[in-house]
Amino acid sequence: MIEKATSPRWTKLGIAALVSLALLLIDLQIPQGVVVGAAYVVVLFIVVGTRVPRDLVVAAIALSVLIWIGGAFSPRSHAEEGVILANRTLSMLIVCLVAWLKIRRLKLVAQLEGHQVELEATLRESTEHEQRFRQIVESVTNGMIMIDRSGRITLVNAEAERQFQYSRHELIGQPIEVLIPQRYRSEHPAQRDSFFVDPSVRAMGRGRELFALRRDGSEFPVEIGLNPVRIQDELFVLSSIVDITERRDAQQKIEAMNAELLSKNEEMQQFVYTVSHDLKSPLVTLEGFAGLLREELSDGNLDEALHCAERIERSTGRMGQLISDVLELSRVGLVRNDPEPINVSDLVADVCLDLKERLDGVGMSVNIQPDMPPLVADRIRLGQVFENLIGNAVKYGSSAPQPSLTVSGMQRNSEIVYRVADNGEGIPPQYHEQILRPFERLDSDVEGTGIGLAIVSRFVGLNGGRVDVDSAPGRGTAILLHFPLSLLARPTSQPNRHCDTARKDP
Amino acid sequence: MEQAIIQFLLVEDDDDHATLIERCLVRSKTPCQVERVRDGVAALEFLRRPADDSEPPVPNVVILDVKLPRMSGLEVLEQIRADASLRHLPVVILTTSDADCDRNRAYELQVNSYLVKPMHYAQFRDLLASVSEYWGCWNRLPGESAK
Repeated sequence: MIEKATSPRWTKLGIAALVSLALLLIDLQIPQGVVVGAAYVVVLFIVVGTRVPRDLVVAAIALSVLIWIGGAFSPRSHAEEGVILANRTLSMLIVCLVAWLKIRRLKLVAQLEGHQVELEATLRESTEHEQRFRQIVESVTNGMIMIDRSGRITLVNAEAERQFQYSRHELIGQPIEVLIPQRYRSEHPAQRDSFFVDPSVRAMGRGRELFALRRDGSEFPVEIGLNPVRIQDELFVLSSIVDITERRDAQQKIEAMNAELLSKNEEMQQFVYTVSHDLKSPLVTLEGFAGLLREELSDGNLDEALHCAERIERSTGRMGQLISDVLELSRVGLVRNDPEPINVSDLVADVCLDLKERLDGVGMSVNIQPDMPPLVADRIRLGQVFENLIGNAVKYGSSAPQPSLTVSGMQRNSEIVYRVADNGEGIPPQYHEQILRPFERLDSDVEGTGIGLAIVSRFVGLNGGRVDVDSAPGRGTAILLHFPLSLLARPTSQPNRHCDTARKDP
Repeated sequence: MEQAIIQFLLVEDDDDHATLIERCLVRSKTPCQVERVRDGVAALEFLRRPADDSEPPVPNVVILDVKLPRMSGLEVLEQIRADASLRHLPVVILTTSDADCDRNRAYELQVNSYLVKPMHYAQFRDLLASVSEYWGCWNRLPGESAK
């Protein structure tokens, strides 16, 4: 490196020496009066190429010596001694002056170069700063957009590109209003100007819901933080944009869950109210008939006493049934067996087999659609649901001369619908909602606790579906179970006959 | 003193309770007759029968349960109070429900009395004896002839 740097210097000095020598030889041939000394200035122009001031000093001295030698040994002329001396001295002065000028120039150049290096360093530093700023802005997970005083976009980071579906080249130079929904656009420039009047770090649109506009015209809810940024005495606003779609959805979900909890709570209160009423009722009967029994016995009315004892027994039985039904209803939500694909036609056939005695007892004919859509569900509960529905059909739908039960299923729009229908006397529409609630009964003559349909409704509800009643006096009763289509089992897997054992599994 | 026979309409879906109430009323000192219906709709039908075939006669007092099939006791009460011809009919609620909401609603609907079925037979019997005596002998209604 050093050699490379020095070698051109020595080359230049060598050339300078050669030129000097040649000039000396010429000088020596020319008569004394002619001023050749000034030609030595050329040498200085060569030496200056080394850019070393010392070289110029040495060269000036050496050339002065050569001028003097040339003057002393060149052929004598007629010129006067004084003129020759003056010529020579003048030449030396010129050489020295030129050398001095060259040295000054070199120093000035060096100084300038120093300044340039400094300037370059400063420039580099500021470029690094800017780059770092851009890197930080780029790496932030919020969308960042900077605008100038006129509202033009000057900077966009990657997240903002993603949020708004624009590339930064498309956005830079555009007014910020392109990212604002039409309905807020007109008022925005004034709001923007007011921010520039009193710039401070703050959230945009306090308390208001803010929306941003994507390229495709869709909107998304945002939260925007505004930060004034001063760059070279010019004020910009750097806005940080957070897409709060997820947060808002979560919020809505929480609110929905809260509402559901409230309604569950209300349902629970209603449940406790009804249970306490329905449990108290047989107790009143028990106590009442026990008292009556005592009276009848003391009066010697044995037949009446026997009658009281029967009522007591029946009431105890009803109370037991009620308690086990309440437990069953509570289990529908608590005890969950793993859902599995179920061939519903087979399941209903099994239930009817279990209820054969009761069905035959009322002479009810059974018609089960053989290819109902298979369902993914808790097999034991679904069996219980059909058992309750078919049990109800036997209890309430057997008034027709030829009682019949039809169970069918179909896929309709986005749901699966199962239908359990009888041809009994039917239920007036005003009671349809009521009968799905626990302990609600329309006919107190028929044995039951009013929980069967509540269990059905609860199970279907837990599976994301709903229960409909389709019935009118004289038209029979159909209970419709709507399940979401997502519960449709793939037709390939139809575990078949083991449902019998599965249903009896505790 | 010669007493008129007091006519009760008992609206009660529970057969056992109905038997108990009827028995206690009939065995009380006040002579009475009890007509029973099983639900709210039947109660209103009974009360709104055409006057000419009033057999059995129009009741003096209604004994009403709250929790009834088809139409609740409170709805029956509301209908009675909204009906010009039935508005002054004394209605006594006799129920197992001691819930605030039921009591509040019943009083809003100007129930004449709200009674919770006692657990013990002796209390049950005494309560119904008081009911028949109170409504049969002591209570005076608008438009009645002076005793």
